[in-house]
Amino acid sequence: MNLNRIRAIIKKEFIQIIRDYRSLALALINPVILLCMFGFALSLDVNNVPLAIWNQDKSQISTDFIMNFENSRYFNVVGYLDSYDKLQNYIDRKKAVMAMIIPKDFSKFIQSNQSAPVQLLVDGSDANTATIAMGYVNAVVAGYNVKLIEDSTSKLGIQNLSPIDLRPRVWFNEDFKSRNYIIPGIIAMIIMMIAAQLSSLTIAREWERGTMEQLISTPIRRGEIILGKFIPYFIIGFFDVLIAISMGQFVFHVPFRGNLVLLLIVSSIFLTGGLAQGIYFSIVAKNQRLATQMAVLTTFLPTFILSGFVFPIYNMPKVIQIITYVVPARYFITILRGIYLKGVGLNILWIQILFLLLFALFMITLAGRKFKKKIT
Amino acid sequence: MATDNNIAVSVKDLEKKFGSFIAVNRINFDVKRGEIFGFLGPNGAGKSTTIKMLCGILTPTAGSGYVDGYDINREQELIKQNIGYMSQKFSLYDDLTVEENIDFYSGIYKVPPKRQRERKEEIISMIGIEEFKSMFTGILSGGLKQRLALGCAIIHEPKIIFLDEPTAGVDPIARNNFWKLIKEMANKGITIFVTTHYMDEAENCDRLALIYQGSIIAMDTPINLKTQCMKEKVLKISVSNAEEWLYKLDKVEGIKESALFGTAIHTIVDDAVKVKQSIKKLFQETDIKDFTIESIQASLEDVFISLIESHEKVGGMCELK
Amino acid sequence: MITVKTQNLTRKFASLIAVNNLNLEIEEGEIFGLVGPDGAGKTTTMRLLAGILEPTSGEGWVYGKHISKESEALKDNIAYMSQRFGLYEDLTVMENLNFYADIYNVSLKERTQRIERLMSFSGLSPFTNRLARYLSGGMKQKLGLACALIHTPKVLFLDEPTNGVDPVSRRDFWQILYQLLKEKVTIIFSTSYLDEAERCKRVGLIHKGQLLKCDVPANIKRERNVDTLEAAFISIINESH
Repeated sequence: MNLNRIRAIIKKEFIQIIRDYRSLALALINPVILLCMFGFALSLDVNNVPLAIWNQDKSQISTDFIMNFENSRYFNVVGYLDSYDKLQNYIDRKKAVMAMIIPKDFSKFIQSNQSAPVQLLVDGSDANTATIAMGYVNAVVAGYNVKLIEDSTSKLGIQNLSPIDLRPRVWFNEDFKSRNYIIPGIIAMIIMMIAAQLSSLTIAREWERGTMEQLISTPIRRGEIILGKFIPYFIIGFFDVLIAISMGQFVFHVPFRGNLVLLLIVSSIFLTGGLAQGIYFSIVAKNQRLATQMAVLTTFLPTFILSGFVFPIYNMPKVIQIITYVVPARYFITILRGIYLKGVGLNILWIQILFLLLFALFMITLAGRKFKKKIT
Repeated sequence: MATDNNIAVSVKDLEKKFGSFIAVNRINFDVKRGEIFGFLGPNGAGKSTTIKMLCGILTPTAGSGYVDGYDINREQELIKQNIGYMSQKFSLYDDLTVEENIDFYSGIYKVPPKRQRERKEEIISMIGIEEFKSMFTGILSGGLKQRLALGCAIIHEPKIIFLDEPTAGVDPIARNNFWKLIKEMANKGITIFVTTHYMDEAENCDRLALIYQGSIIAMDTPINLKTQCMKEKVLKISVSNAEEWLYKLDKVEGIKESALFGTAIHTIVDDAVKVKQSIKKLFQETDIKDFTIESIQASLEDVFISLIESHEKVGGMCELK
Repeated sequence: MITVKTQNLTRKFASLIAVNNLNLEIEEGEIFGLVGPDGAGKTTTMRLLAGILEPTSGEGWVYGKHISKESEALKDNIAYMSQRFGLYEDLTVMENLNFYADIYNVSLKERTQRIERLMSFSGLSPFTNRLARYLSGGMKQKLGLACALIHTPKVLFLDEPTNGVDPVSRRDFWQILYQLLKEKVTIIFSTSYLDEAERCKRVGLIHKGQLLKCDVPANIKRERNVDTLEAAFISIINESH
C-alpha cells in the first residue's frame, strides 16, 4: 500500500464528486427528503377517524354517548345524518370511514337496564385502519359501559364493583408514537441505500469511460484503488448519517437514550458494509446503470421489507423469517431501536454489532477478490 | 443552376450554426453528374453536417442548395426519396438475414412489387454476396456488411449516392473492393458524394474538397492538389542512422520540418535547391558518403497541413473549439 | 537489446482467436507499427503486452518482465495509452497530469520539471486549467500522451493514437514521438492508417490474429514491387487466403 497513490485516488474522486454538483446535492439532500417523506407521511398511528352518525334516538342519553366520541382524539365526527342513503353516500365518497346508527329506542333500553343495540358500518377497504378504528370504538363503548355499571351499582349502594384494576405502564415509547419507532428504521434505510448507490457508480463509471483501462496499466495496487474509492464515499455517507441523526433529534424529537459514540461507530460499520456492497456491484456490472439497479434492488427492498422496519418479522412466514437473518439492516435496526428507545449498550447489542462487522468484512473481501487489474 | 442538367449537387453560401458554433461556414461547390466527389477533413470539420443538409435531414441556417434539382430548404422529403444515403453506422438489422434486409429497404423505398424480386437479384450479384444471402447480417464481416449497406442504399436506383465515412472499420482488401464497386457505379453515370478522413482513400476521388473548421480550404483533383496547391517542396533523404540525423537536420536553414518515414527522412522546404546544397554540405563535412537526396511528390496529408497552416495564418483561427 | 519479445502468444475469446501464435521481437529505441484492419487483433496484442489482459497461451516479455507472471512489475517500466486516451474528462489538464504523477510516485521535485517540459513540447501550456472535456481531439491525444510520459517509461504502447485526430495534430504528435527516440524509448503503436505506418522503422501486418509480415516498410514494398504499403498489404492478404 502506497499512501501517495491512495491519496491521489481520494483527491481525484473528491474533485469529480464536487464537479458533479448535482449528484453531490442529491447525495446530501436525499436523506433529508427521505426522512421527511417517511417521517411525516408514514405513520402507523390512526387518529381522527372520520365518523358519521345517525342518531335516531335524539335523547339526553344518546347525546351523552356520542359525546364520548366527540371528545376522543381518535375520532372526528364529520356529520349527523338522518338516512341510510346519506350514510352510504358518506362512506362511498370516503368522507367517513365509519358510520354509527343509534336506534330510536336507545335510551329506553338503557333506562330499563337492557343491552342497547348500536349498529356500526365500517369501510373495510383499508383493513389496517378499520381494525384499529374498531378497536377504538370498542374501547369507547367499554368505557361507557363501565360508567353505566358504576352508576347503577352506586345507586344500589355498592362501591367499586370492578375486581381488577389494570394500571398499564408503557416502556420505551411511552406515547405509543409510531414515529419514534420508524425514524431509526429510516436512518438504516437511508444509510444502506445511499451508500450502495453512491459507491455502485464509482468503478463502473471508470470502466465505461475507458479510464480504468489506463489505470490498470499503471503500477497502482488493487487495494489502493478500492481504498481510495471507499474513503471519499465513506465521508459523504458519514455526513448523511449525521444529517439523519440530527433530523431525528431536532425535527422529529425522537427520544435518544443511548450512547451517541456507540451509535456513530455502529453506523460507520453498517455504512462500510453498504459501501462495499455497492463497490462489489460496480466491479461485477462494469456499467453504471446495471450496477445502480443491482444496488437498489439488493438494498432498498430487503431493508424496507425484511428488516422489521415497518413489517414485524414475527408476522412473516417461516421461510421469509429465515431470510431476514442475512439482511444486515435487520440487525442495524435492532441496534438503532435499542440505542434510541431503550438506551442499551454494547453488553446487549454485541451480537448484532458482530454480525454487521462480519458482513462489512465479507463484502470488502468479496469486492477485493473480484477486482482484477485485467480486462476480461 | 438547379436547372442545369449536368449538375447533380449545387450549393451556394451554405451555412449551419449550432448556437454560436459555426459547423459549416458558407461553402460553395458544384458536383457534376457521374463524378466521384470527395469531402476530406478531420473529424468535426463539418463533413457530416454538410452531408446531412444535402440529404434533407438537417435544415441549413443560411444559403441555398439543390440536390438532383430539389431544393434542400424546401423539398427535403423529395430529396430523401430520390437519393441513396449510407451512413458510417451501416443501418442494417443484425437479426435479419441479408435478403430480409434488402426486402425491408425495398419496402421503405417503395420499389414497385413487380420489380422488387428482380432488383434484389441485381443487387445481390452486384455486391457479390450470393453465398451469404440467407445468413444473418450480424455474423457478416465488416466488408460484407459495408457492401450490403451500399446495396440497400441503392435499392431504388438513385442517381445520386451519399456515403458518409463508408470505409470506417473495414480492412484494406474490402476497402479496395468497395472502391471498385463505387467506380463502376460512377461509370454508369451515378453521382457519388463521399466523405472521409483517410487521406489515402481520398485519392480515389475525381475531385476533392478539403474542409477544415467548417470552411472549404481547397478544391481540385487529387493530382492538382498535390502538384499545384502546395508552395513548399518535399525532399526525401536516405541515409543510415536516419533517427539521429532527424535532429541534426533541424538546424539546417530552410527546413520547415522533418519526419521519419521508415528508414528515410522527409523534409518540407521552401527552396529545394538551396536546402539540397546545405544538406549535401553537412553530410560531406561529417564524412557521410552513402546518402541520396531526391525531390518527391507531396502526399495529400502534406498538402492538407500546408493549406491549413496558411489558412490559419490568414484566418487567424485557433485550434480549439 | 530486445525490449519486447513474444513466443507463440495467443489469446482466445470463446471461439474467436484474437491473437494467434504471435512471435515478435522489437529492439530498444525502435518505432514499431502494428498495422491491420479493425478487429485484426491489434488492441488485444497491445493489451497483452501492457499486462492488462491474460494470454490464453504462449509467453511474452517486456523490458525483461514476463507479461503475465510479472505483470505488475512490468507496469513500472511501461506506459500504455488506450484508444480513448484514459483521461478524466472532469479533471483539468493539470489535475490529470498530477493524478498520473501521483499514481507513478513521481517526486514533487522531478514532477515540476517534467510537467513543464511535457507542457511545452505538447503545446498544452495555455490550457493548464481547462477541463479535459473541453479540449479538441488533437489536444486530448497530446494530453493522453503527456500523462503516459510523466514517469519517463522505457516502453510506450500507443493503441490507435491518431484515430480521429486532424492532420495538423497528427503531425505534432509525431514530432513528440521523434523526441522520445532520442531517449531510446521503444515505441509500439497500432494503426489502421497505412500511410501512417510508413513512418515506422518496422511494421508488423496483423490480419485475423496472425502476423503476416514483419519488416522494414521499404523492404515490404520492394518485395511486392509496389509503391505504397496499402498495395503491398492487399497483395499479402490476398496471398494468405
